[in-house]
Amino acid sequence: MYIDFEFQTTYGKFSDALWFPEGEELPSDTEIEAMKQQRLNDWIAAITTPQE
Amino acid sequence: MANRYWVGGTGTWNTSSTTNWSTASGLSFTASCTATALTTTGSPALVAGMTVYSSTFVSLGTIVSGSGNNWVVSVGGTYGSQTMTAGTVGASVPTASDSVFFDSAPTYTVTCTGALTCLDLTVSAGTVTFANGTSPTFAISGSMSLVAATVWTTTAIITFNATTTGKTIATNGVTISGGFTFDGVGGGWSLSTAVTVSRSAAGAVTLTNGTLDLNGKTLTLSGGSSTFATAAGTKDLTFNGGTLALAGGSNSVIFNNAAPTGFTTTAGTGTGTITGTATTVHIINGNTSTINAVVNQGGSGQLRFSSSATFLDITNTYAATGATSIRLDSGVTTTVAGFTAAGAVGNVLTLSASTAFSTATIALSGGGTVTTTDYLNVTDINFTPFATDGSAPYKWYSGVNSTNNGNNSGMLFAASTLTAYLLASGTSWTTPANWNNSSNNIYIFGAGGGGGGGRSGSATNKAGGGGGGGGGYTGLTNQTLSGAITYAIGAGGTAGTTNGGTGGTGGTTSWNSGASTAIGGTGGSTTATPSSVGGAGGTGSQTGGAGGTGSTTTTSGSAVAGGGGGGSAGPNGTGGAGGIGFTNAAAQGNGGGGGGNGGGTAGGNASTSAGGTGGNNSLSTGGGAASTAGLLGGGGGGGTAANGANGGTGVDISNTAGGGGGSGGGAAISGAGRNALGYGAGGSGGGSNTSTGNGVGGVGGTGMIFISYTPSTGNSTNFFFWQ
Repeated sequence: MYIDFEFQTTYGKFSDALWFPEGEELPSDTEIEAMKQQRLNDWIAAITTPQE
Repeated sequence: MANRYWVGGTGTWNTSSTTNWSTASGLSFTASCTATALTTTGSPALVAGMTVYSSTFVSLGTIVSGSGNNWVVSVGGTYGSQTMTAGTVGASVPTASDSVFFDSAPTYTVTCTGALTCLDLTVSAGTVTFANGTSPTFAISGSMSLVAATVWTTTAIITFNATTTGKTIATNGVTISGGFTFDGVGGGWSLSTAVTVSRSAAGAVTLTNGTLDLNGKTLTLSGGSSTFATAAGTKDLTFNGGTLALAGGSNSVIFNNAAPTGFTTTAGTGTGTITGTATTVHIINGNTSTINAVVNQGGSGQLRFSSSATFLDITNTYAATGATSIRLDSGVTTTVAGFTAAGAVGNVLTLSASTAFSTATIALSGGGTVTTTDYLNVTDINFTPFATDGSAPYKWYSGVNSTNNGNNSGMLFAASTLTAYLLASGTSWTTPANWNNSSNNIYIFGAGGGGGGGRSGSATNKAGGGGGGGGGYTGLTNQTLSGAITYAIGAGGTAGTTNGGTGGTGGTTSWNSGASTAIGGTGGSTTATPSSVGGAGGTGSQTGGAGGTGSTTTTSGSAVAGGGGGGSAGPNGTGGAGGIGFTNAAAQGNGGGGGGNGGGTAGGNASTSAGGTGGNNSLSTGGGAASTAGLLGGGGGGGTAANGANGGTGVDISNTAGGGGGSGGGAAISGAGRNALGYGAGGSGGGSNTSTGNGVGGVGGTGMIFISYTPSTGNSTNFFFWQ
């Protein structure tokens, strides 16, 4: 299943989704929020420290 | 069409090896092994011929015989109770018709070599690393989905080549180290999750054929030199509220519409965005296409528009973090349906064209008005639509904290509570319905006089033309108006012809059927004696600056230069006088500087080595150095052995319009005087040179009327109720 989410940042809007394969037990709400935040952090790191 | 399952852990995916491919998913079960005796639990559905793998993917050989929970394997060994897998491997290498599945836990590496193909590619379990082998490429004819634990280090280009729609891409937070190419005629792909591609190269993501739908998600190109590019084909980029986040910098063309033919964009649901995030220069090449998305400045590095194109809006989310800039290449027209880019307190947004004094254009489509920007510093930008015939008010408002840095048009540097019109042509102005008789100002400028032509009565008897006088100014406040108002704009004084033609007198600008006027400046003149006289400034409530005197000589071989044009008068005072030209024997006449606008200073006199500096505006700025254009109502610098430079359009009314700066002086080499560009400025005088002959004077600047008012809120009736 997909859990869509987005963040507004000074670099622009970041929109993503968490995908969990069918039959997989879903994490807790706290864990899901942490995963969303981790996605955002990873994105900001990617665009602020571009790979050369 | 068939399925291929990866079984057996670490291995190589290439175009020939069948070692890890099975037509069925690997079987996972708990077992232990002693020698060749495999003891399982739960009676897994093993069959003879299956290859059995330990939890670390060590092969125990194939199933020889057995049933239930007791089996014999061909190799065996000693293994305690653990999770093992088994599968019938040896299936053929997947083709474009075969979907591939990586559904085994826990951790292994797939080394990718050669041109690999498949239909769908699905990683649904484990921690699978896809690593580079030798020259890998992928052609995926279906969809792609990865679980978050996947590691994608292969730098292979992945070509999505489906020719039907409905394909999806879900990388689930996994950074793709390679690049993406979408190249399937009629194909369609949508993002199910955000996707990050880290290839650092031009065309890191290339759209050639088919439709890429961001589907509201963020497609990020994180490579430092990465580019989203189009290539020859029929392609569409659909946003549906998605974001194209482009981190490329160091002058990367982050959005390179290299093949605009056959390229369309679709906004879909929501508002799509293309955001540049780099700390160095990043460039948008829209290449004449209509891009149905907002372009956002999301980085400290300069965002540039290198070509004309149409977008929904330009925004600046980086304003919350720091100062930044947006630049248009000179000559480019960027068309937008809205413009909400703004700076913030301490974080000014600089907006400019690439070449000084060479403008670019930002065109607002759809008939709206820009009122949501502020904290800008603007240079060399024409904002359109901009009516100079009084048919419509200003459409662009800068906000009260923005700075006009010169050579702009069409933007009113004022709060949007003010309405303003500029009339430089036409004869009738219709009083707006919301005209306010008790809060308005009308600024009337006469035209500038023309510069006198250079004259050489003989080889030893020469005179540079006198500069034209600046136009006069008259100001009105709180006029009661209704209906059609008749006006006349004074034409700029004509240029004096060669051999001493006197410049024409600038026309009178009149308002309301002549009820108020501002008189034009007179033209400069030359005579054969030799002598040169600058034109007198026009009159009104303020007087325009006198034109500068051209230089004269009775020495053979000398070159003479014209005088600078006078500056227009304005609400802040009289116009500055033009500077005096200079004669020397080196065939290098230097022109006098133009006068500043109303309340400004006189232009400088030329010297033996350089043209005179332009006079400053009323704020003591804007005068151009020799041969350099003035800004913001400052006079242009006189030419050094060349023509002078333009004066700048004034800023003393709503920081936008006003008395134009005087023109720079004409000089002997090119001969002709500089035409005045600023409203009401005098043209400069022409020069004379033995080899190039006499030059004409410059044309004076036209007159102008500027109207501003605070719109009336209309009649109102108050009702009072008592209980």
